[in-house]
Amino acid sequence: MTYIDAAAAPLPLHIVSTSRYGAVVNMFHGDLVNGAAWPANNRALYVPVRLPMAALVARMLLANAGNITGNVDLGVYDEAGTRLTSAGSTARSGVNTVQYLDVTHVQIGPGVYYLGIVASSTVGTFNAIVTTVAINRIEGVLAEDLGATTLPATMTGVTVTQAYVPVFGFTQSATL
Amino acid sequence: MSYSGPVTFPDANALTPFSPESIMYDLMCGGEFQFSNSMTWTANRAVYIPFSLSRPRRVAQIFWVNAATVAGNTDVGVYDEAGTSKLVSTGSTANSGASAIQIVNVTDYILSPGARYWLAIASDSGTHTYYGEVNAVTIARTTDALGCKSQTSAWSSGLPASATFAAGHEQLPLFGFASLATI
Repeated sequence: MTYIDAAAAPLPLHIVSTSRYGAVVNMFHGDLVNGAAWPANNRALYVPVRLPMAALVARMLLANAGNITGNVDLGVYDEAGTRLTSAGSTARSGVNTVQYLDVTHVQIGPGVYYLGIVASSTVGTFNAIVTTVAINRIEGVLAEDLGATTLPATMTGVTVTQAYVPVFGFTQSATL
Repeated sequence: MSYSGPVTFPDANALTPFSPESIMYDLMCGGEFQFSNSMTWTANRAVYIPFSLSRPRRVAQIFWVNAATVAGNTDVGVYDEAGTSKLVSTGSTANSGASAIQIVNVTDYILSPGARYWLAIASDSGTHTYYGEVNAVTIARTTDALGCKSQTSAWSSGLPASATFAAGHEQLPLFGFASLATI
Protein backbone atom coordinates (compact mmCIF):
# COMPACT_ATOMS: atom_id res chain seq x y z
CA MET A 1 0.00 0.00 0.00
CA THR A 2 1.25 3.49 -0.75
CA TYR A 3 0.40 6.66 1.02
CA ILE A 4 0.41 10.17 -0.31
CA ASP A 5 1.73 12.81 2.03
CA ALA A 6 -0.36 15.88 2.42
CA ALA A 7 0.95 18.92 0.60
CA ALA A 8 0.49 22.39 1.92
CA ALA A 9 -2.78 23.85 0.76
CA PRO A 10 -2.01 27.39 -0.37
CA LEU A 11 -3.42 30.23 1.64
CA PRO A 12 -6.39 31.90 0.02
CA LEU A 13 -5.62 35.06 -1.88
CA HIS A 14 -7.70 37.11 0.54
CA ILE A 15 -6.76 37.23 4.23
CA VAL A 16 -9.24 39.26 6.26
CA SER A 17 -9.93 40.15 9.87
CA THR A 18 -13.11 38.11 10.08
CA SER A 19 -11.80 34.80 8.86
CA ARG A 20 -10.18 31.65 10.20
CA TYR A 21 -6.89 33.58 10.26
CA GLY A 22 -8.31 36.41 12.35
CA ALA A 23 -11.02 36.86 14.93
CA VAL A 24 -12.27 33.29 15.18
CA VAL A 25 -14.17 33.46 18.49
CA ASN A 26 -16.62 35.78 16.77
CA MET A 27 -18.20 32.86 14.98
CA PHE A 28 -19.97 31.96 18.21
CA HIS A 29 -21.43 35.39 18.70
CA GLY A 30 -20.89 37.64 15.74
CA ASP A 31 -23.51 38.89 13.40
CA LEU A 32 -22.75 40.66 10.17
CA VAL A 33 -24.07 44.21 10.11
CA ASN A 34 -24.62 46.57 7.27
CA GLY A 35 -23.11 49.82 8.38
CA ALA A 36 -21.24 50.05 11.67
CA ALA A 37 -20.14 53.62 12.37
CA TRP A 38 -16.48 54.18 13.20
CA PRO A 39 -16.09 54.61 16.97
CA ALA A 40 -13.99 57.81 17.03
CA ASN A 41 -12.25 60.08 14.60
CA ASN A 42 -8.77 58.77 13.78
CA ARG A 43 -9.07 55.75 16.03
CA ALA A 44 -7.00 52.83 14.83
CA LEU A 45 -7.96 49.20 15.33
CA TYR A 46 -5.43 46.38 15.18
CA VAL A 47 -6.71 42.86 14.58
CA PRO A 48 -4.26 39.95 14.93
CA VAL A 49 -4.05 37.36 12.18
CA ARG A 50 -2.19 34.06 12.36
CA LEU A 51 -0.64 32.81 9.15
CA PRO A 52 0.52 29.19 8.87
CA MET A 53 2.69 29.96 5.86
CA ALA A 54 4.18 32.84 3.93
CA ALA A 55 1.97 35.36 2.19
CA LEU A 56 2.36 38.32 -0.12
CA VAL A 57 0.68 41.54 0.93
CA ALA A 58 -0.15 43.00 -2.47
CA ARG A 59 -3.15 45.21 -1.74
CA MET A 60 -5.14 46.10 1.35
CA LEU A 61 -8.93 45.86 1.24
CA LEU A 62 -11.95 46.92 3.27
CA ALA A 63 -15.68 46.34 2.95
CA ASN A 64 -17.44 49.69 2.72
CA ALA A 65 -21.04 50.09 3.83
CA GLY A 66 -23.52 52.79 2.87
CA ASN A 67 -21.62 55.88 4.00
CA ILE A 68 -18.06 56.37 2.78
CA THR A 69 -17.36 59.73 4.39
CA GLY A 70 -13.74 60.38 5.22
CA ASN A 71 -10.38 58.76 4.73
CA VAL A 72 -8.83 55.50 5.84
CA ASP A 73 -5.40 53.99 6.12
CA LEU A 74 -4.79 50.26 6.17
CA GLY A 75 -1.62 48.30 6.75
CA VAL A 76 0.11 45.29 8.23
CA TYR A 77 2.27 45.19 11.36
CA ASP A 78 4.52 42.48 12.67
CA GLU A 79 3.86 40.95 16.07
CA ALA A 80 6.14 43.48 17.76
CA GLY A 81 4.12 46.35 16.33
CA THR A 82 6.39 47.52 13.53
CA ARG A 83 4.57 48.63 10.41
CA LEU A 84 5.55 46.50 7.43
CA THR A 85 3.47 48.21 4.78
CA SER A 86 0.53 50.58 4.59
CA ALA A 87 -1.45 52.50 2.03
CA GLY A 88 -1.29 55.98 3.54
CA SER A 89 -4.34 58.15 4.08
CA THR A 90 -6.79 57.40 1.29
CA ALA A 91 -10.23 58.74 0.49
CA ARG A 92 -12.90 56.09 0.82
CA SER A 93 -14.68 55.17 -2.38
CA GLY A 94 -17.35 52.74 -3.49
CA VAL A 95 -20.57 52.57 -1.49
CA ASN A 96 -21.41 49.01 -0.44
CA THR A 97 -18.40 47.58 -2.19
CA VAL A 98 -14.99 46.24 -1.33
CA GLN A 99 -12.34 48.93 -1.79
CA TYR A 100 -8.76 47.97 -2.62
CA LEU A 101 -5.77 50.11 -1.63
CA ASP A 102 -2.39 49.70 -3.28
CA VAL A 103 0.60 49.21 -1.00
CA THR A 104 4.25 48.48 -1.46
CA HIS A 105 4.30 44.71 -1.77
CA VAL A 106 5.78 42.88 1.15
CA GLN A 107 6.37 39.17 1.62
CA ILE A 108 5.66 37.99 5.16
CA GLY A 109 6.48 34.63 6.68
CA PRO A 110 4.38 32.37 8.88
CA GLY A 111 3.49 33.94 12.19
CA VAL A 112 1.33 36.47 13.95
CA TYR A 113 0.68 39.87 12.43
CA TYR A 114 -1.68 42.75 13.04
CA LEU A 115 -3.99 44.12 10.41
CA GLY A 116 -4.26 47.85 11.06
CA ILE A 117 -7.01 50.24 10.06
CA VAL A 118 -7.74 53.86 10.96
CA ALA A 119 -10.66 55.99 9.77
CA SER A 120 -11.04 59.74 9.96
CA SER A 121 -14.76 60.05 10.48
CA THR A 122 -17.44 58.64 12.75
CA VAL A 123 -19.93 59.40 9.99
CA GLY A 124 -18.50 56.76 7.69
CA THR A 125 -19.82 53.22 8.03
CA PHE A 126 -18.25 49.81 7.54
CA ASN A 127 -19.21 46.22 7.00
CA ALA A 128 -18.47 44.68 10.37
CA ILE A 129 -19.08 41.81 12.72
CA VAL A 130 -20.87 42.88 15.86
CA THR A 131 -19.42 41.03 18.81
CA THR A 132 -18.63 41.98 22.41
CA VAL A 133 -15.80 43.96 23.96
CA ALA A 134 -14.88 40.87 25.96
CA ILE A 135 -14.56 38.73 22.86
CA ASN A 136 -12.55 41.40 21.09
CA ARG A 137 -10.16 41.54 24.03
CA ILE A 138 -9.87 37.76 24.05
CA GLU A 139 -9.14 37.85 20.32
CA GLY A 140 -6.30 40.28 20.99
CA VAL A 141 -7.81 43.23 19.15
CA LEU A 142 -6.16 46.51 20.16
CA ALA A 143 -6.93 50.18 19.58
CA GLU A 144 -5.03 53.44 19.37
CA ASP A 145 -6.22 57.03 19.05
CA LEU A 146 -4.11 58.77 16.45
CA GLY A 147 -3.85 62.44 15.63
CA ALA A 148 -4.27 61.81 11.95
CA THR A 149 -5.58 59.24 9.50
CA THR A 150 -2.18 57.70 8.94
CA LEU A 151 -1.08 54.49 10.58
CA PRO A 152 2.04 55.01 12.70
CA ALA A 153 5.40 53.39 12.03
CA THR A 154 5.09 51.67 15.37
CA MET A 155 1.70 50.80 16.79
CA THR A 156 0.97 51.41 20.45
CA GLY A 157 -2.13 49.38 21.02
CA VAL A 158 -4.28 49.78 24.10
CA THR A 159 -7.35 47.95 25.37
CA VAL A 160 -10.12 47.96 22.83
CA THR A 161 -13.55 49.33 23.76
CA GLN A 162 -15.32 48.54 20.50
CA ALA A 163 -17.77 45.70 20.22
CA TYR A 164 -17.24 45.01 16.54
CA VAL A 165 -14.59 44.01 14.05
CA PRO A 166 -14.58 45.70 10.65
CA VAL A 167 -14.17 43.43 7.62
CA PHE A 168 -10.76 44.33 6.20
CA GLY A 169 -7.47 42.73 5.31
CA PHE A 170 -5.25 42.16 2.32
CA THR A 171 -5.10 40.23 -0.91
CA GLN A 172 -2.08 38.47 -2.29
CA SER A 173 -3.08 39.41 -5.81
CA ALA A 174 -2.63 42.66 -7.68
CA THR A 175 -5.79 41.96 -9.65
CA LEU A 176 -8.03 39.49 -7.77
CA MET B 1 8.09 3.48 20.47
CA SER B 2 7.75 5.09 17.11
CA TYR B 3 5.15 7.47 15.87
CA SER B 4 3.96 8.09 12.40
CA GLY B 5 4.11 11.57 10.94
CA PRO B 6 1.44 14.14 11.42
CA VAL B 7 -1.99 13.08 10.30
CA THR B 8 -4.25 15.58 8.63
CA PHE B 9 -7.99 15.35 8.86
CA PRO B 10 -9.36 12.99 6.20
CA ASP B 11 -11.17 14.53 3.28
CA ALA B 12 -14.93 14.61 3.23
CA ASN B 13 -16.66 13.14 0.21
CA ALA B 14 -17.94 16.46 -1.06
CA LEU B 15 -16.31 19.82 -1.54
CA THR B 16 -18.62 22.85 -1.58
CA PRO B 17 -18.24 26.55 -0.75
CA PHE B 18 -19.17 25.48 2.78
CA SER B 19 -16.21 23.12 3.14
CA PRO B 20 -13.04 23.86 5.12
CA GLU B 21 -11.02 23.74 1.91
CA SER B 22 -13.12 26.66 0.74
CA ILE B 23 -14.60 29.53 2.77
CA MET B 24 -16.59 27.63 5.42
CA TYR B 25 -14.67 28.86 8.44
CA ASP B 26 -14.41 32.35 7.05
CA LEU B 27 -18.14 32.63 6.46
CA MET B 28 -18.74 31.46 10.02
CA CYS B 29 -16.24 33.94 11.42
CA GLY B 30 -18.02 36.54 9.34
CA GLY B 31 -21.39 35.80 10.91
CA GLU B 32 -22.83 33.97 7.90
CA PHE B 33 -23.84 30.44 8.66
CA GLN B 34 -27.48 29.81 7.88
CA PHE B 35 -28.90 28.64 4.61
CA SER B 36 -31.90 30.32 3.09
CA ASN B 37 -34.60 28.20 1.55
CA SER B 38 -34.39 29.66 -1.89
CA MET B 39 -32.57 32.12 -4.08
CA THR B 40 -33.71 33.15 -7.55
CA TRP B 41 -30.81 33.23 -9.93
CA THR B 42 -29.95 36.08 -12.26
CA ALA B 43 -29.93 34.76 -15.80
CA ASN B 44 -26.49 34.04 -17.23
CA ARG B 45 -24.63 34.92 -14.03
CA ALA B 46 -21.72 32.81 -12.85
CA VAL B 47 -20.17 32.83 -9.39
CA TYR B 48 -16.66 31.62 -8.59
CA ILE B 49 -15.73 30.43 -5.10
CA PRO B 50 -12.05 29.88 -4.16
CA PHE B 51 -10.72 26.70 -2.62
CA SER B 52 -7.32 25.05 -2.22
CA LEU B 53 -6.20 21.48 -1.67
CA SER B 54 -3.60 19.78 0.46
CA ARG B 55 -4.16 16.37 -1.12
CA PRO B 56 -5.16 15.10 -4.54
CA ARG B 57 -8.93 15.18 -4.94
CA ARG B 58 -11.09 13.23 -7.36
CA VAL B 59 -13.98 14.96 -9.07
CA ALA B 60 -16.37 12.10 -9.78
CA GLN B 61 -19.83 13.57 -9.35
CA ILE B 62 -20.91 17.18 -9.56
CA PHE B 63 -24.04 18.41 -7.85
CA TRP B 64 -26.19 21.36 -6.89
CA VAL B 65 -29.39 21.68 -4.88
CA ASN B 66 -32.52 23.02 -6.52
CA ALA B 67 -35.14 24.92 -4.58
CA ALA B 68 -38.86 24.97 -5.39
CA THR B 69 -38.83 26.65 -8.79
CA VAL B 70 -36.92 24.73 -11.44
CA ALA B 71 -36.23 26.15 -14.89
CA GLY B 72 -33.49 26.46 -17.47
CA ASN B 73 -30.04 24.94 -17.30
CA THR B 74 -27.10 24.80 -14.90
CA ASP B 75 -23.40 24.24 -15.43
CA VAL B 76 -21.03 23.56 -12.52
CA GLY B 77 -17.29 23.14 -12.84
CA VAL B 78 -13.79 23.80 -11.58
CA TYR B 79 -11.29 26.33 -12.95
CA ASP B 80 -7.59 26.73 -12.33
CA GLU B 81 -6.37 29.66 -10.22
CA ALA B 82 -5.97 31.98 -13.18
CA GLY B 83 -9.47 31.20 -14.35
CA THR B 84 -8.17 30.55 -17.83
CA SER B 85 -8.66 26.78 -17.83
CA LYS B 86 -11.96 25.09 -17.14
CA LEU B 87 -10.68 21.78 -15.82
CA VAL B 88 -13.92 19.86 -15.45
CA SER B 89 -17.59 20.71 -15.69
CA THR B 90 -20.99 19.21 -16.25
CA GLY B 91 -21.73 21.28 -19.32
CA SER B 92 -25.15 22.80 -19.76
CA THR B 93 -27.57 20.52 -17.96
CA ALA B 94 -31.35 20.90 -17.80
CA ASN B 95 -32.43 21.62 -14.24
CA SER B 96 -34.78 19.01 -12.87
CA GLY B 97 -36.17 17.99 -9.52
CA ALA B 98 -37.73 20.64 -7.32
CA SER B 99 -36.29 20.95 -3.81
CA ALA B 100 -33.81 18.17 -4.48
CA ILE B 101 -30.18 17.54 -5.12
CA GLN B 102 -29.27 17.17 -8.79
CA ILE B 103 -26.22 15.08 -9.59
CA VAL B 104 -24.27 14.79 -12.82
CA ASN B 105 -21.70 12.08 -13.39
CA VAL B 106 -18.55 13.40 -15.04
CA THR B 107 -15.42 11.76 -16.31
CA ASP B 108 -13.23 11.46 -13.24
CA TYR B 109 -10.77 14.29 -12.91
CA ILE B 110 -7.96 14.45 -10.34
CA LEU B 111 -7.18 17.86 -8.92
CA SER B 112 -3.58 18.27 -7.81
CA PRO B 113 -2.68 19.33 -4.26
CA GLY B 114 -0.86 22.49 -3.35
CA ALA B 115 -2.90 24.63 -5.71
CA ARG B 116 -5.78 27.08 -5.69
CA TYR B 117 -8.95 26.54 -7.72
CA TRP B 118 -12.34 28.09 -8.36
CA LEU B 119 -15.61 26.25 -7.89
CA ALA B 120 -18.04 27.72 -10.40
CA ILE B 121 -21.77 27.64 -11.06
CA ALA B 122 -23.88 29.37 -13.69
CA SER B 123 -27.40 29.21 -15.01
CA ASP B 124 -29.14 30.64 -18.05
CA SER B 125 -32.41 31.03 -16.15
CA GLY B 126 -33.69 34.09 -14.36
CA THR B 127 -36.42 32.12 -12.63
CA HIS B 128 -34.55 29.04 -11.45
CA THR B 129 -34.03 28.80 -7.69
CA TYR B 130 -31.17 27.25 -5.75
CA TYR B 131 -30.81 26.31 -2.11
CA GLY B 132 -27.96 27.98 -0.26
CA GLU B 133 -26.83 31.17 1.42
CA VAL B 134 -28.11 34.59 0.40
CA ASN B 135 -28.29 37.80 2.38
CA ALA B 136 -29.07 40.87 0.28
CA VAL B 137 -26.01 43.02 -0.27
CA THR B 138 -24.32 42.38 3.06
CA ILE B 139 -22.97 38.97 2.23
CA ALA B 140 -21.86 40.26 -1.15
CA ARG B 141 -19.28 42.39 0.56
CA THR B 142 -18.35 39.49 2.81
CA THR B 143 -17.89 37.06 -0.03
CA ASP B 144 -16.11 39.74 -2.00
CA ALA B 145 -13.75 40.37 0.91
CA LEU B 146 -13.11 36.62 1.07
CA GLY B 147 -12.09 36.61 -2.56
CA CYS B 148 -15.22 35.24 -4.21
CA LYS B 149 -15.94 36.48 -7.72
CA SER B 150 -18.87 36.69 -10.09
CA GLN B 151 -19.48 37.31 -13.77
CA THR B 152 -22.57 38.68 -15.42
CA SER B 153 -23.45 37.45 -18.91
CA ALA B 154 -21.13 34.53 -18.33
CA TRP B 155 -23.35 31.89 -19.89
CA SER B 156 -22.21 30.70 -23.28
CA SER B 157 -23.89 27.34 -23.74
CA GLY B 158 -22.65 26.80 -20.19
CA LEU B 159 -19.75 28.09 -18.15
CA PRO B 160 -17.28 30.11 -20.21
CA ALA B 161 -14.04 28.51 -21.30
CA SER B 162 -12.21 31.28 -19.50
CA ALA B 163 -13.56 33.19 -16.50
CA THR B 164 -13.72 36.97 -16.32
CA PHE B 165 -13.68 37.89 -12.66
CA ALA B 166 -15.68 40.74 -11.14
CA ALA B 167 -16.72 41.51 -7.57
CA GLY B 168 -18.36 38.83 -5.45
CA HIS B 169 -22.09 38.30 -5.34
CA GLU B 170 -24.60 37.84 -2.55
CA GLN B 171 -25.83 34.47 -3.81
CA LEU B 172 -23.92 31.43 -2.63
CA PRO B 173 -25.66 28.21 -3.66
CA LEU B 174 -24.96 24.83 -2.11
CA PHE B 175 -23.11 23.09 -4.93
CA GLY B 176 -19.85 21.32 -5.57
CA PHE B 177 -18.34 17.96 -6.39
CA ALA B 178 -18.00 14.57 -4.75
CA SER B 179 -15.18 12.06 -4.94
CA LEU B 180 -17.27 8.93 -4.54
CA ALA B 181 -18.94 7.31 -7.51
CA THR B 182 -22.21 7.07 -5.63
CA ILE B 183 -23.67 9.80 -3.50
